Amino acid sequence: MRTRKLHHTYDTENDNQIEELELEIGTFLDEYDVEYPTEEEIMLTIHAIRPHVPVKENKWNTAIKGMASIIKQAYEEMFYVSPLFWTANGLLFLIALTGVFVMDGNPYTMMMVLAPIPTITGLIEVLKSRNSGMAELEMSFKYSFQELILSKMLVVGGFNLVINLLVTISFGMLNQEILVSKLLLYWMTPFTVFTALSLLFVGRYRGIYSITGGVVLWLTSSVFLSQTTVVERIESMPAEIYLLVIAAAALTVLFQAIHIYKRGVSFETNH
Amino acid sequence: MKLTIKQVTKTFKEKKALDAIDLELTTGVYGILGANGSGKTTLMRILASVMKPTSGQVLLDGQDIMAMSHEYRNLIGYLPQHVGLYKNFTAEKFLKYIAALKGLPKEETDEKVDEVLELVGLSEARRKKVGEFSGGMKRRVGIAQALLNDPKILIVDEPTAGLDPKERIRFRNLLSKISSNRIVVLSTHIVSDIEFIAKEVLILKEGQLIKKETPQRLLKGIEDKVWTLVIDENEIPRYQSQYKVGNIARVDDRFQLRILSDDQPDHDAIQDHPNLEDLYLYYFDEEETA
Amino acid sequence: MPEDQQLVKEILDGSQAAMEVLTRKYYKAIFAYVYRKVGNRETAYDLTQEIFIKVFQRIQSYSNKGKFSSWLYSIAVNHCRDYWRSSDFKQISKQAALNEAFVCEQNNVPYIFERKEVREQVKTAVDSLPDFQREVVILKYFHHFKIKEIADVTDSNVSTVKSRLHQGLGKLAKLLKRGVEDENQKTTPYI
Ligand SMILES: Nc1ncnc2c1ncn2[C@@H]1O[C@H](COP(=O)(O)OP(=O)(O)O)[C@@H](O)[C@H]1O
Ligand SMILES: [Mg+2]
Repeated sequence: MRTRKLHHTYDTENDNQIEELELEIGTFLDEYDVEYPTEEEIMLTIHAIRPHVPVKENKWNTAIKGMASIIKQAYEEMFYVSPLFWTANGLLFLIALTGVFVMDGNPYTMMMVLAPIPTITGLIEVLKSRNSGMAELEMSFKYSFQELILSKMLVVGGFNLVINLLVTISFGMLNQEILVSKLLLYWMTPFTVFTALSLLFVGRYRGIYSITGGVVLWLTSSVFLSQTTVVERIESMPAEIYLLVIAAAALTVLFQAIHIYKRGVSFETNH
Repeated sequence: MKLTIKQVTKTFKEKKALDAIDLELTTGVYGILGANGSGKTTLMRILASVMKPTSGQVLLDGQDIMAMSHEYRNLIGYLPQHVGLYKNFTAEKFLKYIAALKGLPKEETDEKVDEVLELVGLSEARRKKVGEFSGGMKRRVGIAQALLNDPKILIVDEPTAGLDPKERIRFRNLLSKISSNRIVVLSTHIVSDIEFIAKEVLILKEGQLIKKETPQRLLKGIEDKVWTLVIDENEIPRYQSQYKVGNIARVDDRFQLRILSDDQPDHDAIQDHPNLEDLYLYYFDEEETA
Repeated sequence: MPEDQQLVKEILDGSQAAMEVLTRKYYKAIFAYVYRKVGNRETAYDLTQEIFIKVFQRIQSYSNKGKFSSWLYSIAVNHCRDYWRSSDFKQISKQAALNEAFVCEQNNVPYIFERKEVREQVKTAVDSLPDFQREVVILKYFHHFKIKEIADVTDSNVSTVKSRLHQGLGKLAKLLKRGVEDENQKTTPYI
C-alpha cells in the first residue's frame, strides 16, 4: 500500500511537461473568467453565516450548559433506575421511622446511620453499566460517559437528599421535642461525607469494589455509633465541627465532579 | 464522506496491537479479516473513539475525530464485540433508553424505535425482556441500538460470532440492507460473513494491514495456488505437515484434500477456483483458522 | 491585513466582525474554485455559502495546524466532492444531459460555432475533465497552488497530483487546440 517512488528523471521531465502544457494552453485558460456574485449576494451569505459563529466562550455559560445537560440527562435516567432501588430505600426509611416512634430509638443517631444508605446502594445503579458490560457502548454515545456517570450520581444524591428531608420534616412534625437543626446536622454530615467518598470511588475503582468498600465503611461506622460512649462523645461535639466537615465534604464533591467531567473515569477497556 | 486512518499505532505496554495503519474508507461495507489477537477490536475501538491511538490520528473529512468529540459521536453507531445489555429492560425500553443517551429528541424517539425494531425483525418481541432473548436476538438488539441515530458510520465488531448458521445469514442480509449510504466497518474471523457484502476486504495480521482489496482481486491473487488432490487416508498427515490444507472431503473410501501451495503438490493435483476460505488459509496459519 | 490566525482567535471569542473580514478575504477565491469546479453560477453560490458555514461550524477544530487557507480549501474540495455524489447533483446532471443534447442539435447549425466564444470552449473542456483532474488543474492554474499544497488540500500525494495534472492539462491541450482547428476549418472556406 506504500506509494511507489517515481523515478527521479521521470519526475523532472514530468514537471517540465506540466509547465510547457500550462504555457501552451494558458491563453485559453485565461479566458475562463468567473461570474462573481454581487455585493448583495455576498452580504446574504455573510448573514447566513452569522448564526454559526461560535458564541463567546464564557466560562460560566459553558459550565451552566454542562450542568443543564447533566440535569436533563439525570431526569431521563430517573425513569431507568431499577424499581428495586426506590423500594428498598423507601422501606429502609419506614424502618427508621418505626424504630424511632414505635421502639423509641434515638432519632439523631438513627438518622446518622441511615442517611448515606441510598447513596451507597445507588452506587450499584451508577456502576450498572460497568457491571453489565454496557460501559464501552456508552462511551461511544453523544453524551459522554462522564456526563452519564455524573447524571446518575445526581439522581442518586438527589433522591437521598429528598428522602432525608422528608424524614426530617416528619420527625419535626410528629415529635415536638426534636431539634430540627440538630437533626439536619446529624444527617447532612454522613450524607455529604459518603457522597464525597462515593464520587472518589467512582472515579478510581472498578465496579463492585467500591460498593463493598462503601458497605464495609458504613457498617463499621454504624457499629461504632451504636456504642453509647461514642454517641455521647458525638453529641458533645460543637456544631462548628459538623459544619466544617460538611463544608469540606461538599467541596470534595464539587471538585471530584468537575474532575470526572473533565478527565473521565479511569477505565481500561478490556476483553 | 471519507474516514482517513493515518499512521495509527496502538501499544499496550510492550505489545503493539496496531502498527502504523494507513487506510481510507468511503461509503460501502469493509470487512476486516484477521485471526484472534490480530488487532481488529483495537482498530474498531479507535474508530468508535472509545480508545485513543498511541500515535497517529483518525480524520473524518480532514478533521480529527477526537477534536470533533460530540459531533463525531453523533455520527456513529457502534456495536462492541462484547456488549452487555440491561437484562431487565424490555427491548423497547432498552432502545428508548439508548435513544435518550444518544441525545435523540424526545418527539422522534418513539417513531425511530419502532423503525429500528421493524428493521431488525424484533417488532413482535418488543415487550420481552432482553435477558430472555437468544444470542441472535441480542445481537439484533445491538444492531438496532447502533442504528437509532441513523449513523453515517456503522462499526460492528464480530457481529456473527456465536450465531448459528441461520441467524448468520439473516444477519448478513440485514447488514447489506442497511449498508447503503454509510461507511460500514465489520470485523470477523469468518470469511463467509463478508464474501458477498464487502466492497473491500482488509486483512490484519499481528497489528499490520497486509491487504486491502476487493474480494475479487484478492481471489485473483491466489488463482493458481489452490489444488485438490485425492489420496488415501494414511497419506493425510504427510500433506498436512507439508502444506496448508483446507477442506477435507470423503470421496468413496478415499479423501479429497484442498491444498494451498505455490507449486503443484503432486502430479495428480488439479487446480481449482479459489474462494475466500482459501484466501484466509493462505494468509493465516491453520491453528488460527480453528 | 490582519493575520488569519489572529482572526480565527477573535472568531473563537465570538467576533462577528472578524468572521466578516475572514469571509470577505477568501470569498472570491473559494467562489472561483467552486464555480470552475461545478460550472454553474447558482450552484457555486449555494455551495460557497455552505462551505463557509461548515468552516465556522468547525472553526473550533481548526487548531492552528497548518495554514488557515489550506484548511479552508480542503473543506471546499471535500464539500464539492460530496456534492458530486449527492442526489442534488444527480438531478441537476440529468437536466444538464438534456441541455447538452439540445446544444448538440444546435451545434449542427454552422453559425453557432462562430458565435461560440473561446470562453465557452474552455469551460466545456474543463467541465469534461474527470473530477480529480479538474480539481488539480483549477488549483494549479487559477489558484497558483504549489504541487505540495495541492497534495495537502486534496489529501493525496505529490506524485499522484503530478500525474493528475499531467493528464488533465494534456487532455485540455488536445481539446482546446482541436477546437481551434475545427473553427478555422469551418471559417476558411467562406473567406
Ligand atoms: N486493553 C488491553 N490491554 C492489553 N492488551 C490488549 C488490550 N486490548 C487488546 N490487547 C492486545 O492487543 C492485541 C490485539 O487484540 P484485539 O484488538 O482484541 O484483537 P482481535 O479483536 O483481532 O482479536 C492482542 O494481543 C491483545 O492481547
Ligand atoms: Mg476482537
